[in-house]
Amino acid sequence: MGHSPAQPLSGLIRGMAICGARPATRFGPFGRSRPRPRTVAQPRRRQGTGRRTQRVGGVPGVLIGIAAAAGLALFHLSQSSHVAATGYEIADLRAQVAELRAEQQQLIFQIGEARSPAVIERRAKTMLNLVALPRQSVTFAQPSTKRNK
Amino acid sequence: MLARTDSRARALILLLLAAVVATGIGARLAWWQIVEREPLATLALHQLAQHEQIPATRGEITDAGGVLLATSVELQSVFATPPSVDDPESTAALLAPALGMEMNALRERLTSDDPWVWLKRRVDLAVSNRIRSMDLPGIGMLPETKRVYPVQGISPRTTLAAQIIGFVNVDGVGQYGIESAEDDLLAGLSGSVTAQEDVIGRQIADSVYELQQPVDGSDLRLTIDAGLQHLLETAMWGTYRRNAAEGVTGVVMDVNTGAVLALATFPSYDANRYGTQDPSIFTNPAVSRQYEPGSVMKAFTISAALDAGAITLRDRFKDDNNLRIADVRIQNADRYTSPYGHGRITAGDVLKLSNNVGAAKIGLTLGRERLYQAFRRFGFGEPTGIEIAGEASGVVWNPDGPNGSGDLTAAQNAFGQGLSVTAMQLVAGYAAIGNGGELVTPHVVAGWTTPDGVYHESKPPTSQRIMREQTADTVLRLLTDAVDDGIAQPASIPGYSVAGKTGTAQIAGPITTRVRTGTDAHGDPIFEKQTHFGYIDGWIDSSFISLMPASDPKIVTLLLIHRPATWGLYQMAQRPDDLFRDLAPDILSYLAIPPDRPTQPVASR
Repeated sequence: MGHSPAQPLSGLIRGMAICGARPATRFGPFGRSRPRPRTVAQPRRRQGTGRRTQRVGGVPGVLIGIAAAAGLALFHLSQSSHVAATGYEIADLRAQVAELRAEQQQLIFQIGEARSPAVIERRAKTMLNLVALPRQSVTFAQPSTKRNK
Repeated sequence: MLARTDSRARALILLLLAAVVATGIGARLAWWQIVEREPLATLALHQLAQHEQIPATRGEITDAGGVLLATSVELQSVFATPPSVDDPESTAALLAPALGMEMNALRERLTSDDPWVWLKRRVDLAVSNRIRSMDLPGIGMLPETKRVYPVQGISPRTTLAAQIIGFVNVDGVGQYGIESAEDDLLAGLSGSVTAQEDVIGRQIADSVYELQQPVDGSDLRLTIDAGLQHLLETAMWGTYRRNAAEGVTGVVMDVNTGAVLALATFPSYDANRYGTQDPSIFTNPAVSRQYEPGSVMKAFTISAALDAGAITLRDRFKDDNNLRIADVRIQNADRYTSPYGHGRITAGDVLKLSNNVGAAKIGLTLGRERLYQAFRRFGFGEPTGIEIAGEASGVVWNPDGPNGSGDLTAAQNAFGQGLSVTAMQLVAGYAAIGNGGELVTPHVVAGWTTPDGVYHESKPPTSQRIMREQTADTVLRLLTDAVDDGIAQPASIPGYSVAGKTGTAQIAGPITTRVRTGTDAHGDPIFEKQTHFGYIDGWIDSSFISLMPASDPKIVTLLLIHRPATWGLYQMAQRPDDLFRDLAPDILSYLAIPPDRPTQPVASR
């Protein structure tokens, strides 16, 4: 069966559709032995046209709903990821704070060591060559009663 | 031509099938999510969530002036997961020198069957940095806090006031001293968190199911002054070595408040390395060691007798250096120089001469029951209540009780034998003489700051009047005479009046002797070793206790030397009164207590 190049594509497709139709098959006890004739095709087609008009209005609504749900899901996902990422950043910062605090504690400990009277005395004697004052040099000032009056 | 087939029935059937399956699935889901929700959610939470403790930060300890005595630092603890260690041999070889551990011990842990083991806890910062740089598989580190004591002591390998403060063990629990006694206040309350964690153990944000915030511990401020503590430790360490003593104790306390300003004891230890020390030195002997005090008790005997009106200052007691009670002979310490005693002596003479016979007679004049009750009023026989763990109560026997020996117990107790006290009880008792007759509670905690920054001043129990003010003043005067004109004269210091009393008591212990128990078949003697409890020659506790300045006492000071190396009649390298003479001017200068007596002109020195 040949076709000229000018033949419309719709006709070809229609022809293929006819060729592709298959006979009614029998599927166990539920199958039918012979095809049921269609006698009320015209009215049903009209009804079908009406239904198709309704479907055209319903599909976009469903699609919009699905799209909205998908959008919300994506938004939730992105927010969750963002929260998780921020959480890790916070955890890292906390770890840094803990590290700095540990260093600070070490420094406080070292300051405490350096402030030990025994350390100060040793350094004063060995590094600065200081000597203790003789006891006689310690005098107590008498309270000035005149000034108090 | 082929006709279209009608599959509506099949579609309907398939739809019905699908509906049945969907209903089944829906019902099952509803069962899981509505009916079984709680147990399943709990099960899921247990599988996903990790429960962790959030440790509370332990409070710091500072001295009266804010010098940091104890704090906590965060250090790393090294652990291993043996199944993840690639090569235990080489890992052990690398870690052993860094951790300061033996190779075999380390290898044993790295090849352990346990899934997780500690290698070393709380290593120094340098060590943790070194181990981190090695990046060994199966080796990790976790942060842990460590209690540290930054102020060094005067003697090698000690920290200042170690036996006052105590330390915190590896589990974070206070041991000994204030760390133990005030553990609840210092430790705070740890919190907890239940949250999901990722595969490497990081907490996932917004996944916290339960959070209990920790409550940090309070910071403690002590009454101890680090500078004065250093002065006292320096002096006590010197006499500890000079006397080759078994131990020494020095206490300086405010007579009016009971605030302990310094408390030095040796041998001491380094609280940062308590694990390497002998545990027997962890307790504070000033509160935990009970000993027979000797002559320092005579002041309490005379106080009790004067306060009860049993004697007056003019009453005289015959001292012939020979008082026999129940076949026991009581003699004086100076029996070799004055074998017949000192004749008729007053209560003042008893303190000046430190006379045993006189003190025993005063005690018996008062009556054994009243003497016993007076000693109990002074606080002997029960803990003082100081906030240092391990305080002993001392032992004072009721002369008429099951362990008493009637008048003999009373007579011996009157001059400080046959009973045991702690150094802190003695100090508290003398403080009552110095402050007009009120027994104060010794304490080392000045106050604490709660995590919200509010400072709470420590309020020790109110003092109790235990004798009349006039009695206290009288005994104070007698004690001043004992230093000015008595055997405690070496303790006198220029410019200050000192009321004080020396005390030397023998130490009892097990004595093993060889006793002849009979003869054998050949007529040779048979000897057996027998052990009995008695006073051991050369074993003494020598002390000096003082109130300064005697005209208006501010501080009470006790210097006690336990089992010094002695020779002759208790001769020792440095007696407590000699030590006091060297130390007291420094203490008075440090506390800025002005002289109360005219000092010699500078030109005459």
